[in-house]
Amino acid sequence: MMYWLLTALLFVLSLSGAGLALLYDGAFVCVVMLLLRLAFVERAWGGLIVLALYAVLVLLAPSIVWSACFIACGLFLVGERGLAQVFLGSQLCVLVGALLPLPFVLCSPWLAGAIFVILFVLLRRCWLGRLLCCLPWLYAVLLMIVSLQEVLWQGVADDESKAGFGIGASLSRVLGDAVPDGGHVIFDSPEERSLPAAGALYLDHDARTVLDSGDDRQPRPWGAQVLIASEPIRMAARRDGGLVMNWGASLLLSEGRLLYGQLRGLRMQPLALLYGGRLLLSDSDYVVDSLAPYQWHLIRRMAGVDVGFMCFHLFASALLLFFMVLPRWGQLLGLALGLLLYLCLCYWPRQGDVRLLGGRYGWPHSSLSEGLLRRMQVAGEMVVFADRGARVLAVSAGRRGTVQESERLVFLESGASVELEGYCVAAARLPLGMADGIKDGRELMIDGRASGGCSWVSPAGRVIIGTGSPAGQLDEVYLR
Amino acid sequence: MMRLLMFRFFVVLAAAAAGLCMLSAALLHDGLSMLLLGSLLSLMLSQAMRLRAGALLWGGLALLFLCVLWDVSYCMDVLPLYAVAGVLLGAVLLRRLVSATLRAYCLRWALGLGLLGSLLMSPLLVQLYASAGASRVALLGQGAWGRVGSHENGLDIKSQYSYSLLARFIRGREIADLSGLDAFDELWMVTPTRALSADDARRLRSWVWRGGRLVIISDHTDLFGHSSAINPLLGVFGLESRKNCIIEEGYPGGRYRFAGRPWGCYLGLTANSFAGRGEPWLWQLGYSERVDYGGHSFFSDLQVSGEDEAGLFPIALTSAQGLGSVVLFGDSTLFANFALSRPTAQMLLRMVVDGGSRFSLYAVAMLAYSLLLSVLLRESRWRMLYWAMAVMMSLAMAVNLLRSDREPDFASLSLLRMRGDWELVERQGAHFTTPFAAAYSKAAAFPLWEMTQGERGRIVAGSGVVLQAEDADAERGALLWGGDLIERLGRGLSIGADDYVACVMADASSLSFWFEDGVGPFNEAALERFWEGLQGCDIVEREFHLDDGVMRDAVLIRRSGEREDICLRMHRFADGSSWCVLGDWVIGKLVDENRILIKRAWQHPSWRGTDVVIRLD
Repeated sequence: MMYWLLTALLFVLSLSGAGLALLYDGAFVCVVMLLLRLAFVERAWGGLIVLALYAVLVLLAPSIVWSACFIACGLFLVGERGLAQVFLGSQLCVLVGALLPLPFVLCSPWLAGAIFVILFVLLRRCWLGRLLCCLPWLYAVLLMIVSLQEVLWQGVADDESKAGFGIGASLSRVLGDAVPDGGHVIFDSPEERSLPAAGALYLDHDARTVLDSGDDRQPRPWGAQVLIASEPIRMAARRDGGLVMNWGASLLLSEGRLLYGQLRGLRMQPLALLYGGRLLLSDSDYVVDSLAPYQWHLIRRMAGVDVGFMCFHLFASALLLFFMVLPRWGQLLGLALGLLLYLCLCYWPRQGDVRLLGGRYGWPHSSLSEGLLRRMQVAGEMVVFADRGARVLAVSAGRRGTVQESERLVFLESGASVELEGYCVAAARLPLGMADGIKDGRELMIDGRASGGCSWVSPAGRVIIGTGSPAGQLDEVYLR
Repeated sequence: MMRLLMFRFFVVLAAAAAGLCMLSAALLHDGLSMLLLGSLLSLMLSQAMRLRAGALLWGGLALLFLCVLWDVSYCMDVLPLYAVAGVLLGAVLLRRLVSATLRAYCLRWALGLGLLGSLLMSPLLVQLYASAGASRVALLGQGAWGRVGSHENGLDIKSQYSYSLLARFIRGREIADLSGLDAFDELWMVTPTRALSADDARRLRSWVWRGGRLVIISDHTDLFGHSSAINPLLGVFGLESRKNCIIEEGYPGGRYRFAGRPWGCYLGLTANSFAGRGEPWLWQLGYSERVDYGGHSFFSDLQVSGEDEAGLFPIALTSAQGLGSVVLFGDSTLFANFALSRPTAQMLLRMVVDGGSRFSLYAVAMLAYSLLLSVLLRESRWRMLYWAMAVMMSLAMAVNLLRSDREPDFASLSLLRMRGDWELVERQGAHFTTPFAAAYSKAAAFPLWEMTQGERGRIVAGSGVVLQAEDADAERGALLWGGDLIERLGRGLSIGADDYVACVMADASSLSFWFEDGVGPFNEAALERFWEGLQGCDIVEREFHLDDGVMRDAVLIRRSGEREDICLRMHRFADGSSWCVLGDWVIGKLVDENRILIKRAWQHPSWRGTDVVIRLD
């Protein structure tokens, strides 16, 4: 019974949750619980501990749920070797699709499902089943190659773009190195356009090129979709909280290499391709200056500049490659080390400009703290999120924090408070409308006493602002 | 064998009823009810159902794990799932820690308590009690919104958002304070923006407990502070109006479900949700968007995004309080003058007037608990008492379902009976949505709908006139004015006034039904003509005497402040009205001797520009 349940859930995962993040998460959690249960039944204490660690890690860094590698290792650990091989076999499609210019149908999750079923049937045939043992090795090698794959980001030389809508400056800030010009953004074309001969192509709505068949809208919240992509890319997008994309071009695909796509009902929608060595995006949204910082992990992963995560994926590939020949203690140690490495990388403090305390929704257009970055980019500041060394701190509603030395400007949402130079400064919950020149202002309470205003300059010259909409129509003077 | 089957059936029935009540309590964030119902369910699972402890444990852990994962990864209301996980794990704990004898004993007591609790929660008895008495209705005006007073009955925002029709239909007498409250049985408050004093709130509570019915109509996003104003009062009853707005992908006003039509839905006009102790009867599956006090109408971005909480939200509920009840409904716009001509609004108004849905989940739970107790206590002398309670409960439910409605007094107006496809007058951009929104001002007889949907794509009026979506489609887009505004202003009239009005009528589905600044003389004439036609009256042609027009030099001032020198043809009305027609059917209004205002709302629906001002040289 448990075996069949596990098989059914792995089949759902092989279809990448049919594009629904909630379904994927649900199936994934059930797989982990079943593996825990199996480890418990077998009294495999080592396995139980590692899988329990895995369960805890999922809650601390949910992006790990996209790792097919670690699911397979868990299956090996509890003795479900055949299922691990079948599952990895089904996941080969997206890795192959990222490397070879094959017809797009090969990357479809429906094909992955079909492969899962075929391999599962083969597994039951004794002599054919033995052939499957090479699948984990194949997966590991391909994963290694995909992890080392790099995409060339290019800026767009366009002096007429509005502030925040240029392409290049913010990409450079995210990648930590200057991005060369040479890319093209194509949108709002009244008639069909010919493609530029070289350079990255950032398509958008009404692009009207030979590579698209019209417009494409993303129907669900940005964080609620499952990317159909190799595991390094989908894990990176999940670390960002979602994919910034709403209204772009519906890419056609007869050739090219798939970087990522999404399921729209039963239809596969490609979103990023390598087309003759050039990057082709179906929507230019997240490469523009105001939104690029929200897609930090994905941009860096595609460019291959996130050395830590690249090492993690190489480690995971190596672990899978040698997993079956390792002694049991080696398997346990390898898996535990991999998980701990991932946790460290996810929580490694990032240097930047704006630190948020709470309230990450993956929604740049919010008037809450998270929208501050977009607002600052539009005001001409090339800024990124930070965990330390920031100059702006934004505290979400009801949260409490401490101001770091470098932070000169502090936003407090409704009911938030901070410790600062021996004072406790809190924002009241009552909305005051426009007050002190601050839209949706909230009165500041200093050590429990009303300050009579929505902004306060501390003795050390730090500015604290109480507002329910930090990214609302605040005077840009504050943001500089 | 028969007894065993009956026992199993009653156990499943009671568990299903308790489970649904618990989920409802969880969605209402009613912690106490959720805890009590969860405990009862855990006891039932551990004692009366033959489920394996291992399955309960691993199922509970998996659900708990999933809840935490969804909680940290997405913005969604996972409290109901936490509750289910808690029930499963609670059942395991009870099995491990408590003896079977003690569990059996506890289960009986828990069922007894559940019975009592459901009796207090269910609005069934108070609905029956209220239906027996007279209904004298008062309307308390508190603040500057939700006014029922006089207005000009024109197509403008003040008349459109007046609740004068509602006051008439509920036969409500407007009162200024609560001093004469005892003379009434029912008190309505529509989006009050001034809070009641603590004394008044206490007074209202005691009035409700003595059998009064308090009906509070709220709306989205704490608009003008109305939720902030009513929450202290609702707090007295253990209720809360949440300061949110429920949105749904593809349906700007949202779809409301379950009340009276378990498989259908009602198209709404953007509601807020509620929390607290009560029984919801209208739900919306969607996303809860937060209030943004810096945004237009306190809306945030009005699109589904990661910061919106996904879930199932109660947008109408009835809370039994002593002998009386509190009825909450979260979409006041549906009851404003312009929306009451919608079938959904009329249906929901009937339900609010009647005190909510007649089907009560807590009443079903009561019945199920009584039946289960009567089987569990088969050796006891209490057994007959529970049988009697079950019979009485069934009778009460039957009587409540079959009793006659407390209807709004639609007959206070002359009526035009309507039947047909509701969507044609409710969906934004549908063929007849805007003409029906103008009914309060332009229809001689109020359109009253049959409460069952008719054939799709057509509407039949009591006058015998039939409106077909296909016919309207065929007429649409007969003439469009696009292109450059400056060039259009310089042209002469391409068609006569009657043809223009007919053209507006054909494209009326693209006219906005937010009549903020009026609709202009020609659009108004088109809507008048629609209602004359629908009522089967002779169409009275309104004559527009326009002069031949003169060429004038002018400056066009756009909203952005940009100015442009132009030359335009200006046609004035012979009667000296301040309205004028510029160029090829651009409708303007002289605000003083040499300034003309051009608003989008006054134009043919093909107008794509924004509002502009023209200064005549």
